[in-house]
Amino acid sequence: MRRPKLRELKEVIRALFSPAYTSDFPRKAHQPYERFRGRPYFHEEDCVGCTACAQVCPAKAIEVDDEIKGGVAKRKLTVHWDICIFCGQCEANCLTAKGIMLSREFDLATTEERGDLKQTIEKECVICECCGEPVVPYDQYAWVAKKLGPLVFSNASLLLFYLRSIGLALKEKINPGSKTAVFNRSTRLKVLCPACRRQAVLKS
Amino acid sequence: MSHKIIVPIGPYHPLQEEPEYFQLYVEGERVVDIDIIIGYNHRGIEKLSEAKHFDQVPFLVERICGICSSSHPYTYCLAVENILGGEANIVPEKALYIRTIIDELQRIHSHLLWLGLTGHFIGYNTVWMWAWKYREPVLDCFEMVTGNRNNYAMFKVGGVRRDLKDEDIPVLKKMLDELSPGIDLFRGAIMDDPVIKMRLKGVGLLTRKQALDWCVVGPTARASGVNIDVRRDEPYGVADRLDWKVILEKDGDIFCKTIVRILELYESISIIRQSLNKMPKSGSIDAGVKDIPAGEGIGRVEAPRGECFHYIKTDGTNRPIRHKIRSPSFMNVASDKVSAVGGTISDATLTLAAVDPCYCCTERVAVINKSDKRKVMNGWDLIKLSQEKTLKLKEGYDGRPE
Repeated sequence: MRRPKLRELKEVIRALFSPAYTSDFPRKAHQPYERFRGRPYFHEEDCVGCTACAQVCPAKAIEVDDEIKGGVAKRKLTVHWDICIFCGQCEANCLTAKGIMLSREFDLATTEERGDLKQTIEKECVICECCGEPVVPYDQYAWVAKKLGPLVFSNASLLLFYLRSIGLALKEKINPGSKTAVFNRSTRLKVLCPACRRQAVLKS
Repeated sequence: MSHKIIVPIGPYHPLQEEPEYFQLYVEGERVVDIDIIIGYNHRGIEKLSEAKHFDQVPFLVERICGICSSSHPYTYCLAVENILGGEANIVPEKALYIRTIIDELQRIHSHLLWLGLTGHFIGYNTVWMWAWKYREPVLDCFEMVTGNRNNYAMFKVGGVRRDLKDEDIPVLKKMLDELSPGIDLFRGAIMDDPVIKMRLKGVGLLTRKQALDWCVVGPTARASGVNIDVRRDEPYGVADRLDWKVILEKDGDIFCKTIVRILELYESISIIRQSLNKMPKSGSIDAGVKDIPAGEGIGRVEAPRGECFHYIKTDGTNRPIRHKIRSPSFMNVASDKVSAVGGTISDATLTLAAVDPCYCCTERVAVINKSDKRKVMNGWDLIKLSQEKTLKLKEGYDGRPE
């Protein structure tokens, strides 16, 4: 009985003269590890608005909303930090690898409403020249065109977009939401959404 | 039997961490019978799983339980890999080692947590503080390697998501080296203390026959002398390539359960040390599984509490069409019916906690007893009653002011 107690006495004395084991949190900021999975942020300059993050998110914390407002078609991407489970799937599956990244922020406490825990970015969209609906953000078209290189000749919409962006084709002003449902042979040489592209190929 | 008194514990009780309901039938101070009513924590995980695709399910199942958050995704991955042709055939070498390391680290932290809680229940708060102090470096290692203290997000079908970097290995080894003397001290403090021995010896007894009858698993079974361990019986990861042994005790009381868990900590430390030494320095960590064919698969993993079991049925699409989960606590909790009966009320609390129950793991269904004569009013029933009363008053109202 006595010998084991002596052994533990050593630990007691050591504990008595060593500083507290717990961290000094509110007074001293906590430094998470390098690979800590914290609050995710969209980075507007790198994000192309492809919505890959929203599709893989297990908690459905990323909301995608395409809307036409004041003559401009916009895609709104919102990450809700109150729903987010910090799994890092969005970062792992990001098209550009830098569009959405997890930070090391662990402190999500807020004095405001729970719904305010979010970040929204907007991306201006390419408009379908047939149905006037938003197709994809300009940034994504530009990214894909650059990535494909000479292969853009395989896709009429992409090629046209590319030629316009380098000033080799005329830019057309299309009003979002305006419908011109005429499908003839020349329709195929327009920037189209996938649904109209199929119609155009079928009917022309 | 006329003097039988029921002592209800729960469903929401300050003593318990989770909602569960025990009815202790007592005569004097002795417990003569016990009713275990669970189902307060049913969240529909199995149904949710059918709405997610194969890459998303691990994140869901690791949230079944906050403590064994690598066992459930691991078991799920094994079940899906069973359809694909077995873990050993498709998962890369390095990923197998990383899986084993994460699984064993989790066992260390879970056992330390249980030991601390037991210390707290018997009034040895020093044991509690000690155990949780030694648990903290393990959680720090988790944060360093996986990015979070719990919910590791490491497992995926066909591999792991994050690599174990070269610079992590010395940190992990240092943590294990520092943990070992801590556990030595801890083992001495518990095994040599006459009061703890008196308090735990012979309490919550579960004999070998009872253990077999009630099909208990994991440390609860091993403390009663039932020689089962999924890691040895049906090896997964790299468990069959390493040198370790299954800890067995004979008596089946809470003291034996404590000893089994303490000694298992050493085995886990040894497994992690060997894995870190044998792990290939480089190589792929993900097999890149794209399609899951139609079929059925099962996965079994030795979770800290016992055998965890998942069943997956697929039809060739990217979602499981049936996902069945059986967690170890489901088997172990039922054994309270024999181990708690015969003891006193003060022992019952300890006995209920000794199997390391995890109710949120267990609950796959909520039972509503329709044959019961008593009517249970829910919120809508009450509102309807209130509205009916207003209606009745309205009909009888003759227009005069009160």
